[in-house]
Amino acid sequence: MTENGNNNDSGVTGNLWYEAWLRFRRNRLAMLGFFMIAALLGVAVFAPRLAPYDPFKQLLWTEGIKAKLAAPSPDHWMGTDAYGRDIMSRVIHGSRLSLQIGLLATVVSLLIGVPLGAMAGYFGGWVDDLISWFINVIFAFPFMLFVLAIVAVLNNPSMIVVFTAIGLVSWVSIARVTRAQFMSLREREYVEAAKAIGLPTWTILFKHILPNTLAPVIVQATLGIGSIILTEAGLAFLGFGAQPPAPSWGLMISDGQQYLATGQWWWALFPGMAIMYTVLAFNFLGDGLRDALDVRLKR
Amino acid sequence: MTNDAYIQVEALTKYFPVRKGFFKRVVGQVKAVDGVSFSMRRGETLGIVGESGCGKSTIGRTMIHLLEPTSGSVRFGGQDVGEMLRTDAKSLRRRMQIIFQDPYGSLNPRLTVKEIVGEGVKFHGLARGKKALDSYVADVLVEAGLLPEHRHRYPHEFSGGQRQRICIARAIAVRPEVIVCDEPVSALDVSIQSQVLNTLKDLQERERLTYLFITHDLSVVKFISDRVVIMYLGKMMEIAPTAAIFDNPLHPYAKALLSSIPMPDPTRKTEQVLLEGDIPSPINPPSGCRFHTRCPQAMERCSQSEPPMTDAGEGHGVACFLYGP
Amino acid sequence: MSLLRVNDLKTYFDTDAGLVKAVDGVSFSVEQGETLGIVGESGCGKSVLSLSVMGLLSEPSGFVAGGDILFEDTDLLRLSESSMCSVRGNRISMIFQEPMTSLNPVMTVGEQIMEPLIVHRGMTQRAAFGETVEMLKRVRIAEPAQRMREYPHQLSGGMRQRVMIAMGLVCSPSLLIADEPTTALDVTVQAQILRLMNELKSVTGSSIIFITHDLGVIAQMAERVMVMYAGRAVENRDVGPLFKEPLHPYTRGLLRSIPLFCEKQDRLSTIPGVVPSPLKKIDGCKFHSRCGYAFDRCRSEEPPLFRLGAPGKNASVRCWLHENGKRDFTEGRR
Repeated sequence: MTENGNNNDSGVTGNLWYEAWLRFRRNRLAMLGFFMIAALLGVAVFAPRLAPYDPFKQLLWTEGIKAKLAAPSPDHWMGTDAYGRDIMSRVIHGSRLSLQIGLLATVVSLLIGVPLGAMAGYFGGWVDDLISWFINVIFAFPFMLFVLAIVAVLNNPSMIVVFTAIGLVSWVSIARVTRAQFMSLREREYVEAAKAIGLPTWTILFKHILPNTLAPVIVQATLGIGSIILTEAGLAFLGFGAQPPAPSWGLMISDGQQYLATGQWWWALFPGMAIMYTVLAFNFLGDGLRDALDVRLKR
Repeated sequence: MTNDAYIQVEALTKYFPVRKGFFKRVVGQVKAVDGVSFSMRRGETLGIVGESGCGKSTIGRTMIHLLEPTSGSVRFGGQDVGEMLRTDAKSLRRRMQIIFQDPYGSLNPRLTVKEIVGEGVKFHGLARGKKALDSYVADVLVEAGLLPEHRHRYPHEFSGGQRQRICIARAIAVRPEVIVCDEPVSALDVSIQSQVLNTLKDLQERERLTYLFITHDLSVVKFISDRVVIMYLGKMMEIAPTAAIFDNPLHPYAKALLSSIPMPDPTRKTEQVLLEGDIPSPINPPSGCRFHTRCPQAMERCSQSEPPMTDAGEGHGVACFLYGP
Repeated sequence: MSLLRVNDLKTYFDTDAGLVKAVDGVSFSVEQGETLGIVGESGCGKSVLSLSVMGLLSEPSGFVAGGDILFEDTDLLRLSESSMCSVRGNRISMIFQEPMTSLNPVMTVGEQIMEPLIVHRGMTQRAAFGETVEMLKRVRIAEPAQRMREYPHQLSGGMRQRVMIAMGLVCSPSLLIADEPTTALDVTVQAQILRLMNELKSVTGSSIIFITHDLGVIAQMAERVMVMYAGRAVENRDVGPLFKEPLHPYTRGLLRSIPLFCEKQDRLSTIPGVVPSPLKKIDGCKFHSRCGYAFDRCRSEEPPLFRLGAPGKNASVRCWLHENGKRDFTEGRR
């Protein structure tokens, strides 16, 4: 027994969320991810002020320099595209779109995945069989193809359709994690003790099981945001989702890739780097959360 | 065994289906508890001992209907427990409580001690209002051997013994009459174990509690129990007052079990009745007497028919053909 | 000449919360053919001690901070990892508490027992097979050739522990370290394993370090006993005198809190309080806060190990009450 209940030297509360934050703060990579995302959010919120130019404006000449497909220069740090639009301004505005899709699709997947996973895990039996079958079918399908199919069926390439479609597909991994958590937690003795006290099922579900499943679900959702942003870019690249002239990173790569061969690398490269930055940031954060929230009681 | 016993367990049976394959066909039954009958007086402690797979934990859970029995009945104060669960589950749950073995898995890590202990109090309306609840919980903690200020802490801030005391506090907080103690001290060090056992005994005397005390540790059972049931593979082998079991065990299994305890006395290297082999699986238990495969005194009929529980006088019952019929 | 002599061993762990002195200056020796029992409650450092001897500490967080471990006159702490490997499993072997996690689930039982023979003895597959069959017979496993083809999960708990013992003894080590080898087993199976270990010991003449929290098992197995508390050895004596007349108040308290030891009683005698956190610095004797006999000196100054009886007797106790040899417990009680 190495812990001693009688000495609480730190003087702070033993709340597990607070302790997780203390662990998180010590993890450098996690903090890096955290600040990268904070910075990204800042950029998205203040995009109109930060962007040096109007992202839609087709500049013709700037200070006597040709503004179409101009290489990076002090005036246009990331150059301009074939329409003479400032790439940096478009990348900055693109962050709004990516984050919106990422967050909204995650909310959709949580709204579907958590209740379904919880039901499958807690009730078991045929409920579990049905939901698990559903999850496996969706998993068996190529992710991108499934999203494409939904977008195609709805035949409406608006933002709402895109994040709904992504959410409709990516809830399965959330549901899996939730199900596994509920399955193991419903066997816990504290759940049995709650039953023995006579508490109603919903109290047991919401007070005793759900809070203890949140940690892995949060981790899964955070790691998911990165891949959702990647999916959105892929969709835009293929011509679904964001439509021109919207400043979407995926769309920009799609438009710019044909110029890579002819030496105008900046059009596709900078939005590509933005995607990489974002995905990396969410992965750092997710991994850090995983380590910090891992509530295995020591010894 | 009269009908007005405080608790009357009659032919209690719990099977768990074993499912296999794609269609989850039932391919067998784990016969965890198979036709167990006993009665308990108010305020007594009945110890249930046995090795792994004997079904002792399942008895505890089915007795209070935390698990629904496959068949058999439990009467509590003259009423059928299954019936009470349908008509007045709330009061049944308050009157029968359970304490578990694992001091780490039995407390919700995200709740404070006050929330854990106070939850049942609030639910059963034993204290109304924030202030009343607060002082109620503080009192219960003291009863269980903790300090009132512990109520604001979280479970992981406590040692194993203290966590077990929180579990005790949670159980006694609703003022139960019966507590199933499922290996409550098995995970604790000896020095802590004796502290917790003393607390359980004090509480019993003060509140006139009835304990069903489940353990694999014979020395613990000797200290705490008034009577003892010895289980093997879901069946009762022997039931007797504690002293009778320890001084004069009748069933060959009881003898072997008792002689296997390593005595904390180097001068007493007991001549052990060594059993051959391991405990068979409860999925397909041996025919006849379930112990016959390891029994040094097995006879031919032991593998064919099952010995009934026979009265050996003075409350001593044994299920073995060596003692009749 | 002792087979194993551990001098002032210090094993520390670097944790987030601070330095944990799991083993803090422990000395003992094991003679040829002797069984030394090490007993103590969780966190007393008994398992860390055995891992230190085996060189199996999880580095870099756990490390030996001082002392030496002389095995057959070689200091194990100064051996390179490769020479340590030729000692481990060969001259010294170890049995763990949980046989399921200490056996490799994807290798057959036979392969795992044969491995040390092939590695350490350079035996051919064939010779190792024959030797292993013999070994399994000695640990009373029926149909050994058949069992060798099975995987650990196909065996029962008692069977697995027999396999572990066979693995530990197959190279006829001069020292076997058994860390709670029967704690996970049922009593009737435990009795079989304990008897088996005693029989094998009398045949092979190996020395055994038997680590357990169970005083009953210690009484049945050990010839000499070292009692540990909070990283220290507090009492080290022959098993008979120790159980008859424990000298350290902690040993005494432990023995008295076993319910079986005494006749039917209303209350168990207890040791008050809990084991102190290893992070907490304690002045004086580590046990003083829980000790009914503690006096002022105990709170300020830690007692050394006092030798008892005749010089070569190897009996010692860490308690001020025994500064001048044995002292009666009835005096000085608070």
